[in-house]
Amino acid sequence: MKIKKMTLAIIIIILLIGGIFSAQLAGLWHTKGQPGGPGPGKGINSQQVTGREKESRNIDGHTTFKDLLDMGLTEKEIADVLGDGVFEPLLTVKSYCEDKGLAFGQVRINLDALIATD
Amino acid sequence: MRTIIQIFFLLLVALVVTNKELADSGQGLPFLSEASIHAICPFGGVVSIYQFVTEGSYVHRIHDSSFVLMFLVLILTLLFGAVFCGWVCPLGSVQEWISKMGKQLFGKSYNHFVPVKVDQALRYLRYGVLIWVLYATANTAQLVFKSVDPYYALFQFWTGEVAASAIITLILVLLASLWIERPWCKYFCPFGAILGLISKISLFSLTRDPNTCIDCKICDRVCPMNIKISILNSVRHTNCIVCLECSSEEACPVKDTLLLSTKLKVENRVGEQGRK
Repeated sequence: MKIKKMTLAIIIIILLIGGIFSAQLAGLWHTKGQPGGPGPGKGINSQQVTGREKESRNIDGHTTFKDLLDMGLTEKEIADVLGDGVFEPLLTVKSYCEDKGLAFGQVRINLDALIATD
Repeated sequence: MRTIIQIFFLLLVALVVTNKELADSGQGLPFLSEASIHAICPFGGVVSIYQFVTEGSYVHRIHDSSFVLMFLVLILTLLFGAVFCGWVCPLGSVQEWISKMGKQLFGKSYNHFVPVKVDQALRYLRYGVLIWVLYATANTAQLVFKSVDPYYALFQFWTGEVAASAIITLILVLLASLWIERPWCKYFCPFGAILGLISKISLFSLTRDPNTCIDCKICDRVCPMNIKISILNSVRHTNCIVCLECSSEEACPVKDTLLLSTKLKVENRVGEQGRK
């Protein structure tokens, strides 16, 4: 049996894109969190943030937990936002969020808001 | 056709990782995935296997999606060989597009600067890279490869989060592409190393019909991976990326002589030739 280039192209698209959609339908496609589930928003402090607070950008992808402590936040305040008090000081907040399946954007906004009110 | 597929996957990956950065700033597009570059990398699944088997968890930054992609690429490779490298991988595509400039600059000398013996020896490097990455990742549960990964650097260089070593690797790879076709794929890519080994048992492979081959060696000259196709009946070479540039649909001047086909057909023909 032989396969032409066009046929191969179609099979590649169907297998990869179709496979991703099938995995989504089957509930297997998680781009956050650990095996078996996404764990989105776990423990995130759901306080509302105003547009003005959104503009305040103390935290970016390089910010570590040590930086947060240096900015004046307490371990308890950070733990309230994350829903977990266990974190390494030198780990970046972004890495922590990606690992735990938390939305970094939301965590950042909440931490920014805390810093602004301190 | 292959170029269209390559552009499609390059844009798809670029869009998804850009949207991830935008989403982190609260500006992401709602209809597009917010996956990180690691979450949509099939090699992430490979480096996570050890931790998944021993602890039931993934390496830092790797998620279910990496495993799904790893299995999809595995299926593709078992069917057709390392088509992921030749048709899908954006880093391979970028190197290939830069190589077009190299061909303009150096003509027939392009992709023949490295002496054959040195080239053959260097090709074992990617197995060394693979062993190092798997060992170091299993030991640390971190994506150690990230610090030198040009694929990561290609899509994230603008975020300021990429290690200088990864950006230097990317620049060196892109520069080397002006002299050597797909240098990263040939000598260093650990994922390509795995796919190349799996392609040895793929259902389909590039097959040459010795009955109709006129021995013009055009296939040898156009192969980006410098494989001597003209001396093989079934191209199950660990470096073959199934780009089909050599096939009868592209470079080969004789119809139905170089095709992506099941092994059985060529073996039968060779058998028939032997009986004659």
